[in-house]
Amino acid sequence: MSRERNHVAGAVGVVMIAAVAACSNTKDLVVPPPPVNPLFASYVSLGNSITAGFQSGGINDSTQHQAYPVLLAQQMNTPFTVASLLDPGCPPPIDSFPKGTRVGGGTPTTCFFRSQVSGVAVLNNVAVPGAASFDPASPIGTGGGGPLTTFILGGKTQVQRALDAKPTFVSIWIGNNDVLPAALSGVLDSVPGVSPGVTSEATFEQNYNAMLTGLDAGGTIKGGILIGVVNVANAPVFFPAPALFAPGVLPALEQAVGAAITVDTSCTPTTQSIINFELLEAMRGGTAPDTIACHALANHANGLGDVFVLDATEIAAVSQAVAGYNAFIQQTATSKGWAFFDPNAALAQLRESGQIPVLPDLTQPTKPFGDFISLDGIHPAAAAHVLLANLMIQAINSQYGTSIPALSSP
Amino acid sequence: MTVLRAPTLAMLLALGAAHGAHAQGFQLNELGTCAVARGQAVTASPCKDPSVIYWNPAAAASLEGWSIYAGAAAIRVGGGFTADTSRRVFDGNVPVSVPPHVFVNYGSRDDRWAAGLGVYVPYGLTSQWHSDFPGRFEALKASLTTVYVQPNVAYRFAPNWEVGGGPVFGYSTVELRQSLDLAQQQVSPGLTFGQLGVAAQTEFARAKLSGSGTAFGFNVGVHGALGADWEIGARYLSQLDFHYDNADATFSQVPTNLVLSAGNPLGLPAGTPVDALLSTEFVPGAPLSAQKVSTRIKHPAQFQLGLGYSGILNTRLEGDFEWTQFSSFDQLPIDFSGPASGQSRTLLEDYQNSWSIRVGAEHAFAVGIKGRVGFTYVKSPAPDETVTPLLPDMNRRNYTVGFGVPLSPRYTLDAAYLHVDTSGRRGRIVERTSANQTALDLNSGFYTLEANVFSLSIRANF
Repeated sequence: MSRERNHVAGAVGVVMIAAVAACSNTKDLVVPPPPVNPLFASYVSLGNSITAGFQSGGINDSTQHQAYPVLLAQQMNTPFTVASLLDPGCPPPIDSFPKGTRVGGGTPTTCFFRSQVSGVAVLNNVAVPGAASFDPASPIGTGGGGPLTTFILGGKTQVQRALDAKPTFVSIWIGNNDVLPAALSGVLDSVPGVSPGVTSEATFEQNYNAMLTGLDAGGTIKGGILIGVVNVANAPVFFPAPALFAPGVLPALEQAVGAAITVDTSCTPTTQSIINFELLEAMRGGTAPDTIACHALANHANGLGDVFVLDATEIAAVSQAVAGYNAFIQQTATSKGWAFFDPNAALAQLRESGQIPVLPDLTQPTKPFGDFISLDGIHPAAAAHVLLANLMIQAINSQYGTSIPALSSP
Repeated sequence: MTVLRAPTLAMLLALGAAHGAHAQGFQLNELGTCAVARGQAVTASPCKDPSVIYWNPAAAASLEGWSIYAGAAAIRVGGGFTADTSRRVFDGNVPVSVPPHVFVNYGSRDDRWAAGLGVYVPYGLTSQWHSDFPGRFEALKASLTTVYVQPNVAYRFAPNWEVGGGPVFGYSTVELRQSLDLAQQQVSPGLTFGQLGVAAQTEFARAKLSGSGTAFGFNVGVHGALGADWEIGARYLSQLDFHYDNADATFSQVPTNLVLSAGNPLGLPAGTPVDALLSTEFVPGAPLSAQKVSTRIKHPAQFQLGLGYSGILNTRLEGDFEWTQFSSFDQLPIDFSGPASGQSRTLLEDYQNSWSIRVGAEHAFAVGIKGRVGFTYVKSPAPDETVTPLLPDMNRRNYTVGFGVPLSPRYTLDAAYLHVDTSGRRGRIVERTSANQTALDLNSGFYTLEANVFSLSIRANF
């Protein structure tokens, strides 16, 4: 009996040893490296054209990947997806100023679709060019983004797409388009077909709160950075009217337009008005007379001196609106315990140092606004995105005690 | 406006094979509780019950008189999928399945011949996931049940040597459910909703397929003794080629709640619900209307060779090698006969032949109780490119234990427990659309798998 028991025990032992020897618990998940701080486990950026990566009047996969949120995510070491748009873009960026030619020979209405492989379930950069404060929480939107709203969001709102990513950290830069289109038009009141007008502060706050309420509903956000609105009156696309009297400027403008330009008597060397460079394009296209006036001329049917021109009163109104928005944004950031970043100081510093020129250098068709502003005179170029990202990193690290490394200067 | 297609329905059919958690591929081995307890190493030294009709048809000749063996195995499958990027874990949602088996045999009193019938489920089971599983566009649920009915005759042609076998009639049913991804659908030829910005994995419909098929084959075996203490046995179950003709494919719309914004590229008014646009694709005659579809799934051939030893008092030991011809599951023709007929195609599976090593032991205790243990190592037939939500197959280690208790001179109760252990395996949750796509291109996470099986059977002798 004893021998029998030993044999059985031996047989069972062989079976069990074989079993144990074959057992292992190898896991080979291909996981991304952890972020520099768990706060950034899922980062989502909301906003408009700057955040989306719009440059030089266009957007494509290349410009999208130069945008500051991509750089932030890279420094945070967190996965980040964008709605990659096929080259040459939608529309293709301008590649020569002031002729306005575009990459790939495209036009302002050229629009290529999303790339076939860019369809992602989770989108981290949900910003849409043209978006104003009303858009992030609205399923219909203002239409400012045109087809890009659909191409990027696919039938959802920025807030909805953001929540799909279960964000732990968000950046929000919205509000520029609450003043920019009106400022560019030179007409600050809402005039159908001419200007959407400047969003009132009350409406802006209502829109902003609706966006934040929607984001809070997700219950996953642990922190964020709110970014102030740019004082668009300082955008290089506007040049000061007194420059018309500087040597060589008017001839250069006439060369760009291809016709002689008449400077109205409302323009003097001391005029405080600023003029949108797009006026030249309108002249070239024949939709504006070849005359520059610096104040709205009475009884002038085509808005001469009004459209594309901001006088001192209008500049002050724009600045006041932006200051009101930013006071609210900063207050909101403070109340939420989030970081706040006002880009105006940095942009003003670049302007003062001459790195953002007061007048575009028309002899530099690929870099008329310097290294920091792209060829449309409005949107930051790649170098500015690096600068902005580093300043945001400072603000975030200061607010949260994190250690996001800075980017190398371009 | 839209040119929707039913491409992923193909995957439903393509993987008409469900998840066999405790064998290779979609093979089941829970055919008799005694065999389960012994690690399915029972070809040479068979269990003394009519389940030998499956395990070695020849050994039925050694069973005297009438004997009936009936039971079932409750199979509980666990496991899930962990996504690489998010590291989120998605657990499976597989219900407990209980495949039954019934065997009846009559053996002559002189042990020279026997005749019997077996009804068993050698292939089948279910894979099922929760509705938020990102791989639901590959498979949300798949249920396959294939029943083999096998008349059997065994004959002792020499002292201690028998042959046996019989034809096999197979009946298979399949039910498959899958989510459809709007981002993959075409708005117009060459342009997908995904290119218009619709997020990947936007579920807009669910497809359901149900069908059945029949097939014929055979199962044969040989069994003999090599001296006083050694036995040898082998069996071969042929391939059964099931044709699921006239299967029903139906589609139901799932709200996306997407809304077209102002300035949308379709030129439609702002606020237009996308679901309203899609609803026209589900009406009769539209691409996603009810239609017929057919395919075929070859249930692989099996071969098992075993060597048994009974030189230890009251104890039987056995080791088996088993081979399954899963290379027959290399591709699947998918033929739609409705509005989606233009989407007919052939899917790549590229399964390979698989094998398993099985060892088991049985000891008869003095009071008539028999104790059993076993172990099986199973090599997966699925290549690295075909580890999918529908069949996340992987190498397995099966540990078994059980006992047999005589309830009366005529009745015996067998019980067995089987635990399936794996190391997990990388796999994919998206469709493989080209033979050029490698596992590195496709796999985006890690599948885990375990299973617990409880089997009970009653044996009656008359």
